[in-house]
Amino acid sequence: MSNKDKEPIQLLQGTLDLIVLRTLATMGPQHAYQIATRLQQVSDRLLNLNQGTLYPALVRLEQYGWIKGTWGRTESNREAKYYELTKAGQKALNEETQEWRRMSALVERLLLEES
Amino acid sequence: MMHLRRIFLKFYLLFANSKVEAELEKEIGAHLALLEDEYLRQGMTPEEARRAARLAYGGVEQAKQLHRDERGFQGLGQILQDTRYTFRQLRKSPGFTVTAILMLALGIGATTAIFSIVEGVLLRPLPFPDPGRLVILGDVLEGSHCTSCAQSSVTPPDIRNYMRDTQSFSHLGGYRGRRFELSGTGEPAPVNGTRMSAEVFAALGVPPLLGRTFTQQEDEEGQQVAMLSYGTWRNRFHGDANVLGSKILLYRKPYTVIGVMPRDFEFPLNPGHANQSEFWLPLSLQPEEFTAGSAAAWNSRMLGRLKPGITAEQAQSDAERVAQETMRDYPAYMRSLRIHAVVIPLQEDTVEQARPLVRTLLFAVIVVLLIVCANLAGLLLVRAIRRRRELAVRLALGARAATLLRQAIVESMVLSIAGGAIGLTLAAAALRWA
Repeated sequence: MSNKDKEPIQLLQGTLDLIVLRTLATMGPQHAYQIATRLQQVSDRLLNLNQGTLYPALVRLEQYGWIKGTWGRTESNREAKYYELTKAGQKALNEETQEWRRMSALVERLLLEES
Repeated sequence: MMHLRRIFLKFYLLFANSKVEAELEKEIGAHLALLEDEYLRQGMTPEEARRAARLAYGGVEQAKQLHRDERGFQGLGQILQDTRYTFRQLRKSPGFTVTAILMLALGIGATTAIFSIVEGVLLRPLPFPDPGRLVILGDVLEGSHCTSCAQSSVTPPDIRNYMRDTQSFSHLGGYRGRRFELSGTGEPAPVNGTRMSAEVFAALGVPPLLGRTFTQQEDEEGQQVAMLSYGTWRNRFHGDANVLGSKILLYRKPYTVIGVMPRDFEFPLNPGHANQSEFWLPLSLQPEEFTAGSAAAWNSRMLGRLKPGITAEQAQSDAERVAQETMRDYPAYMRSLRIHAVVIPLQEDTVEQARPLVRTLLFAVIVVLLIVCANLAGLLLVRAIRRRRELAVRLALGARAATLLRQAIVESMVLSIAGGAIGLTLAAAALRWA
């Protein structure tokens, strides 16, 4: 059982968007590498996530107008694209969070009933 | 709303592809550099750090492809790419391309031009209100073998009798085209005009653009008044609104202009647009037209509008009764003639003149189009056979059959669209010139 706990999990469809939005909301503007690092920290390396797979989520969110990317410089003086939550993004985050809570509560309730 | 914005962007990015692609390259590069920095800080050698960074990032090409799939409509992008590829291919074999496109253009152009004429003549409703109720009334001469009798016609006494004695028409009148010498407006010129009963205007139901149409009373009193066609008013009178009340000379007799008909008014209808009537005068049958000679001249026609609820057949038997009476009154020299009244819809009468010619043309042109298609199919087939080796290589290199099929379709589409566009232009030019 404990062995199974350590196995990486697959992300549910659509949850990556929520996670990225949430990360940007709490951490402020971030570049892709920072977002990926943050994800790994938070998930305690449980997320099986190639860092490249973040990119489709980023372009999608940018096209929705929920985040906005601008080029800037890192502390180590490297160029990187920083993503920032927009107003619409904040609103979407709230909505998606609600949605997720309702969804997970539902699944939780079902699982409790089963046992 | 967000989704509209996204759909727009997905289209837009297909065309701004290289810029986005460069930016993505830069972003991935930055990402890898940052990863490498991190691993270097952890004490790896530069080589190890680079490798570890790549591993952590995952496949760069895969990430790029995912990005592309997400940001633009890739199906469309593929088609754009195929189109570009097709253009390259077609440029490489200009002989084939020009032949195929010209062939298509000629075929499509000819068909379109002829079909436009067919549409105009056979399919378009007549330019009058409620055209289904308009009919041509005329006589058929028994035992006559004249070839010009395809159109039923009437004599001056017929016009009087039919107008007086039939009950099936809300309006019925006679008309007769004639060439006149027009003077009083610059150089004397021969022009086409039509003498017609005021009732014909009433039957057609088209109000004049300016002034008024003449009345049946003016017609019977022999008043010398004239209605102008729009084209004549424009060309010969410079569109002058004060033309009403002015005099024109027809065979040196003065006629007062009392009205101008609207632009699309044309009567009698002559498919092919030759010999349009430039003005209309009251029919005003003269006494001598009822006497020997003219009385037996079937040189006029009659137009009527059926009363509501009356069919063409009912009108015909009504008119037949009048025709019988007319024959009873025939003078001695016409006793041998037997006539029957016929009533046919104006549409049919108009189309009848042009139908055989137009049908033959249309058939010929369709055959031409089929020949063009067969030829083009042959050309494409030869081309495909020649490219068999190339296709085999591409299949071996991993191209999917669907991809090759899509390219073949795109190629045909490009040829057809180019041919079609040129063909339509040719057709438009041909119609204007005709």
